[in-house]
Amino acid sequence: METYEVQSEALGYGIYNCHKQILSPTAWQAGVGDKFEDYILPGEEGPVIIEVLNLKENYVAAGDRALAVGDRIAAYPLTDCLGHSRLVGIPLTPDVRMAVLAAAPGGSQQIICNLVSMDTGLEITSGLGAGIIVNFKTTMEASVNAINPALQWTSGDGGDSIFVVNHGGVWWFAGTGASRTNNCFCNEA
Amino acid sequence: MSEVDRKIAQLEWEIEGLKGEMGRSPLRIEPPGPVLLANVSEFYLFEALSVTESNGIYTCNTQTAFGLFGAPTAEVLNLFESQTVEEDYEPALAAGDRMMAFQTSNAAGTPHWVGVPLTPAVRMARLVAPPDASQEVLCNLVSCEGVERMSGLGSGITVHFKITRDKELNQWNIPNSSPRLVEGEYIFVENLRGVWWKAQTSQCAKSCICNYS
Repeated sequence: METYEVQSEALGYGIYNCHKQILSPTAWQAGVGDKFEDYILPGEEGPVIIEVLNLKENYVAAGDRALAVGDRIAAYPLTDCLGHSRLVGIPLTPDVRMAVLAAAPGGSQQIICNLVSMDTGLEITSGLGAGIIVNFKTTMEASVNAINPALQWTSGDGGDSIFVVNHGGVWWFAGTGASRTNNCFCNEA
Repeated sequence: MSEVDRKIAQLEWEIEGLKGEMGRSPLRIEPPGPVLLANVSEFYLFEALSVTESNGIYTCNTQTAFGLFGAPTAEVLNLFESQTVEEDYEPALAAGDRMMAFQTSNAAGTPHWVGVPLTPAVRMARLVAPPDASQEVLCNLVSCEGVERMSGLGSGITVHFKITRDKELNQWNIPNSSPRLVEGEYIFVENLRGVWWKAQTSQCAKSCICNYS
């Protein structure tokens, strides 16, 4: 079993272009950050792209991908029925992860968000993980601009952070049904 | 041959096999099934005892009857923490958490144990201090056996909150957010890159109702 780092989406259907990783020689030193580095094949100038299937998405035909740039997969070779050796694995990221609102909540039950990178801890503003559509299960079918928590986004300050989970190619707001509210108490002077 | 006769013949054949089991091969040999993990035997179980000075690497008990290669403990990297930051790092595992791990070599050829935790990412924690006017609170993790960790790994973790912003209230802290939390209550938390987070965004809210009393 080896570790691979996602670079971009490959063919869809949960297959990603990845760089193979190798434990850094400094991984076991005190307090260091990243434990892995790109594995570079002898004779190559840089890491080569390798396709890896995320087993948690093997049934997903379409929709938003569950992984983002910098996510890692622990994968192993598996031979298909034609004898081709493929890499398949499980992601080394939690199912529930953080995202930041990239647009103001509107009159629907969806908000556009950017995932927070597991690699850098920063909001992903382009590429895989940017501009995901997060769906909400709200009580009384309320729209996302009339729920608790009252999520905010402004062009100057950016957006609130929420926790999201990908089920079958669809990103969902993680938590119990967001409650419809008229915010009466909190608006009292 | 009827179904009954076939069954009788099958049982007689098995009885004959059992009668002469000494010195014989097992009567029935299960055919090898499809193997997903070709090298399953390379995986071992480890139980976290403490964290080392290196982020995400734990000192663990080996979960075999006689230890592993004669060593009672081993250092294992939790692969879910391979990208942790150095500042404010808090381990994602509690004492007693287990990992399924295998050995791999680093770029210099030195073998190390790496593995994945056998605990859910979202887990329960109990507030062990009253929330103050900040966005973090002290908690103890609840172990996978349902026991609160009062000491050692998993105790005294700092849980950070994401609270919706409200410019009118301008008080983005736990006492001014919903759900209202007091010491002793339970929340669900998750460790992302070495930082514990309450696994749901809280609502910024003035404590208008409670202040009426």
